[in-house]
Amino acid sequence: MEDRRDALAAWLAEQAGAATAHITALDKLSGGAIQENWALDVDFDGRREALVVRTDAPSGVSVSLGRPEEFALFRAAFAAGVTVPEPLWQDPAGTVLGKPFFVMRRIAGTAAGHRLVKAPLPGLAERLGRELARIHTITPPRADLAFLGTPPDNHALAWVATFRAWLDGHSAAHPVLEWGLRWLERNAPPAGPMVLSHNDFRTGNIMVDGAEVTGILDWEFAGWGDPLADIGWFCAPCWRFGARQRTAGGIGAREDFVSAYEAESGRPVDRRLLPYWEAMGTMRWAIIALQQAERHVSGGETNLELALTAHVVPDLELDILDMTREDPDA
Amino acid sequence: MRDHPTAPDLLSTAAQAFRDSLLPALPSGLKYQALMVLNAMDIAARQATAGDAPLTEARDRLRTLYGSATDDLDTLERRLADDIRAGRFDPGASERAAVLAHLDASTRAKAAESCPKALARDGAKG
Repeated sequence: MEDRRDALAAWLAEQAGAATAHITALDKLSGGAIQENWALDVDFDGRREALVVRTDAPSGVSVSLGRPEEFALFRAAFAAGVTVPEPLWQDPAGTVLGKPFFVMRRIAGTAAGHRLVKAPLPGLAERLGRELARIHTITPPRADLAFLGTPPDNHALAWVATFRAWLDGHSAAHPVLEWGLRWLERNAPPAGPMVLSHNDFRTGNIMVDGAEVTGILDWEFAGWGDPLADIGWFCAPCWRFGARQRTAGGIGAREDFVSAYEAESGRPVDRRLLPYWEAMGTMRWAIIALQQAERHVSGGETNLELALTAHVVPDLELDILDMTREDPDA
Repeated sequence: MRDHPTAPDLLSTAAQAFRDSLLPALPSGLKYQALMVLNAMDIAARQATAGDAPLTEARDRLRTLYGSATDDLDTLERRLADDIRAGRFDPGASERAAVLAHLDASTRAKAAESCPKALARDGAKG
């Protein structure tokens, strides 16, 4: 990055329509095995801007969404009124830095779910319900989001099939997960409306600065889906960061979150379906946890954090058994 | 052949020393990493202490369920997983309660090693 500093400055000036751009500070931000983020202070003809350059990490494993796709998602979300860093410009061809990147405004704060649940901000559940409703105003088809593919006919059954296919390739049988998947199959609700699902909307991915929500993060799992999938993921007991009595992500009451969502979206939420989608969210996290552990076990990525992720699975399996012991109408 | 203490004792004792003496002296930037190391040692110590007992118990439950003589837990679990997926233990099936009891017991045994706090939370129901 340092050796491309002048080229980047020239490109930034051109994008901003400024005569000159001086990069007065350039620091790599911590975290991100897949993406690399750089904080920049840029002086555009005397006007200072705090920006972030987001690009691929050198050893970044290939994931479903590249930077150009992520830029398109940020643009769609920003235009829909979602609190995300404002996306400004992109270089999808990678001519300036040698790899694709985009530039967004820098937001302040930290994303730490365990801290948020210790002293929940007043009104946070309602605020996040409204944020999610705004994300869900983005609906298919969208030419700018064509990379998200075709929406599934039935989101719930599509996920059941995906999770089973993954388990079939795993070395060990998982009878408890099979038990849960059978329940999720038998009790799958009819297909709901299709919206942009964030797919990792949870307390740990909310950037907060003081009492202010400054950004909804981590869009790399986004896809077309049932609106209740995001609600179930947010509210699932496993994402309450230990504050299980607070049913909305450990930071508030589920009903406050859902009511605010309804008020903003104008679309009623069928409360009877929430236990189903919380069970689905718990199942999905169990599958993802096994996938992460697999990267350590057989993916050549020796890593303690990945290794330990396997050991949250029994915790999730306890929840899954409790949620799927009986059928909803039994 | 092996002199005592062996793995379970060594791991628990080392984890204790790590928790009591090393952890408090570490700079805050290393705390998260250190807690992960401690968690891994605790899990390994609990697995070593439990030994094969949870596996033998699971195998025996499944042998009873299936009236099978096989000794191989992996084979039995694969069969159970396939049968569950095929709907063999759906509501109304006569062995449904036995299967649930097995899944509960296995999950509690796994949790006791991997995440005993979850078990404490769940204890009232178990």
